[in-house]
Amino acid sequence: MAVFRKSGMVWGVALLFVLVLAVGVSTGVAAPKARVAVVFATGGLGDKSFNDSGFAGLKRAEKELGIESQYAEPQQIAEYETLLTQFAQTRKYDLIVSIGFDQADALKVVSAKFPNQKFAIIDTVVDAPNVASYVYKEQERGFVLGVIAGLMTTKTGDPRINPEKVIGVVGGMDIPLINANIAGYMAGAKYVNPDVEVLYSYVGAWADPAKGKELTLVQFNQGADIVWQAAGRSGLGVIKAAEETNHYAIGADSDQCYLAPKNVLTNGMKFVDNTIYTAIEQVISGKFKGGIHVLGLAEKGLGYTTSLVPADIVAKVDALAQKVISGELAIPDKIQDVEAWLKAHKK
Amino acid sequence: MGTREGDLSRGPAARVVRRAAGWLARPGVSDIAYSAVAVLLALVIGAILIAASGYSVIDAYANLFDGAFGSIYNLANTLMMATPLLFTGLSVAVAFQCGLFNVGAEGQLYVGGLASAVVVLVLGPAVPGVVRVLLALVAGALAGAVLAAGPGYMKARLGAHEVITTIMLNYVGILLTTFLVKTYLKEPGPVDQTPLLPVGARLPELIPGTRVSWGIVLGVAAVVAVDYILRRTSVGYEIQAVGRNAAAAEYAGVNVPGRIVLAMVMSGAIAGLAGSSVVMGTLYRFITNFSPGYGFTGIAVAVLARNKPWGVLPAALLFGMLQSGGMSMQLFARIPADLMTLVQGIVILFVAAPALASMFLARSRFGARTGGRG
Repeated sequence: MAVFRKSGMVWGVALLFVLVLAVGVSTGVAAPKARVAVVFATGGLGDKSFNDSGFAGLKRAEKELGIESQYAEPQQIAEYETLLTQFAQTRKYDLIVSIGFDQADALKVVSAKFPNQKFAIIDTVVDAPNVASYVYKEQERGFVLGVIAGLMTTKTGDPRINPEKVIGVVGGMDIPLINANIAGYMAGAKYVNPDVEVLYSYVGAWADPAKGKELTLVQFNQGADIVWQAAGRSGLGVIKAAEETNHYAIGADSDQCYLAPKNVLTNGMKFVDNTIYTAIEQVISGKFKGGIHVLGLAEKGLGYTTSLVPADIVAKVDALAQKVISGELAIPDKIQDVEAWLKAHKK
Repeated sequence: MGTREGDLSRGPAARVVRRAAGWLARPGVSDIAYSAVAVLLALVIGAILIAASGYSVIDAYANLFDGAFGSIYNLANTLMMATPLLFTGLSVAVAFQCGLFNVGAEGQLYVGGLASAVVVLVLGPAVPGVVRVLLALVAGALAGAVLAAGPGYMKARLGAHEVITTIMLNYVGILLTTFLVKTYLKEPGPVDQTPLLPVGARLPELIPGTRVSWGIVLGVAAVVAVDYILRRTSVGYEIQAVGRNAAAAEYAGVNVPGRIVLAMVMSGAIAGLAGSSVVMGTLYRFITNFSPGYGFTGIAVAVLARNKPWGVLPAALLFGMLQSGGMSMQLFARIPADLMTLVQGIVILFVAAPALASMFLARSRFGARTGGRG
């Protein structure tokens, strides 16, 4: 009796095993093109910025590329490493994506522990052979916005535009990334109109809207009528100043028109959705490569919104953007190189 | 007739809830049993909610269990999540033993964490790693103690209510550390954080290859120490005497203001160590706004522990388990981890509000009476 019961149990276990195998195989048949896991930044979904944009890209990849995706919304920084590890441990995902620069520490550790797992990180660099780091050609975005502002400042019949040919940009900090934006902006404005003067200043902080507003008011007083904010949260002050004095501001990273619908001329966009889509596409087509991937206009990693931009200017901007995409125009990324570049590209 | 009471009151699960609640409301149930039943009760209600939301309960709890204990890594993860809560829970419990409600553990752990990071970074590689780690822990405890001493003093000498002062000082602690990091200690880059602590001057991993550090051992040691102080020393006795009845304690010759300040200092020091344990054992650097509210969750841990030092241990482990398990529930069963936050809330509700259990009891009697007819 005891023996029978025991062997019955053995059979039961064996049957269960077969069942599990069968289930495993049957799900294997309907395997998706790729499995992708995403660890979002702690802001979580619903931030109307980085995370939401990344999520949109993931959903588009699901629909158009036939991938299967899984994601995690960590509530604390301490969770990043665990979540990345848990995804990697399953050895089931073709790509694991980290959204946002504050995951760099965690990804550095986890990518070293799982050298055969492919990772991607957006907006910062993790130097490891199995990590693809996606960053942006900031100067190309600056160029497009410079072209728009340079053409716009000579318009007449718009109360927000003054007769002076002066435009401005307020940067967050005097660092290479922001200066690449400013260099592109200057190059763009002076390329379409050599007489335009470009003012620039730095807030020195990413979260000081009051100072951002002060600096913007100073630029308006010096004759500027369009000021771009490349200053994170400090840039909210730039938009506020434009609204209060009825000038134009240009937003950054995401569509900020809702802040001042009559005064935000356009926005310099970072398309996280396109970036994540590109990363997934590269894995599927076998083109995944560790190292730094710089995305610009051509890769649709950067761009602008048409918002309040008149149609004739949109046409001109798009034509010039095409030249950047084709490689005909290589935009300088240092402010001191702008003069020489303009001389070389005189029309 | 039964339908009138809605879904919660029907089915075998509801019967378990009612029976357990009835048992809870009985006088003379020990603290441990009470908390244990409250947890079970919360898990049962959690199961009902999971089922009501259209998920599989078995799937959910299997993933919860696997995420919390399924592998060495996951078990270590549970311990890692529990570590700061062990400290903050103990911190709140100690203050409560003296009749004080320290709501400022959050701010205290920030200053503690930053103090530890600064000590490690300033001392530099000339000082041996062990010495740096020890000094950093002392600094973390000191910083937390200093931030808590103020409210302690204000309570003892000026009668300012400690709930108000500690809440306000949370802002001071959190924003002060943010200011210091941004202005003096920031590593260049987009995140407001200090540079990484060198490998030799961190709290080492307790289980190699996992994320649990020696911080949890320190936490257990703190529990032992606090338990000893409270039960075996005259100072500890006096602290408890003040907590039970300050007027009587004063009549008996206890230095009441002194004991109040001391209890707050102890509480603050332990909360400071919570920050040190995260900074030195998990993140390996101070990152602004790193805490998701360890200090406030500590209050819940202390409530579940019924403010007993030893009770903090299982309570913190339970919260760590719910967090790490909830994480993999979300990851692999696609069930929102928020449901586990809900379970945490229900646990607290049952422990903190025994009247609720009596209510269930009254209802179950009502159910029994009408059950025959319906």
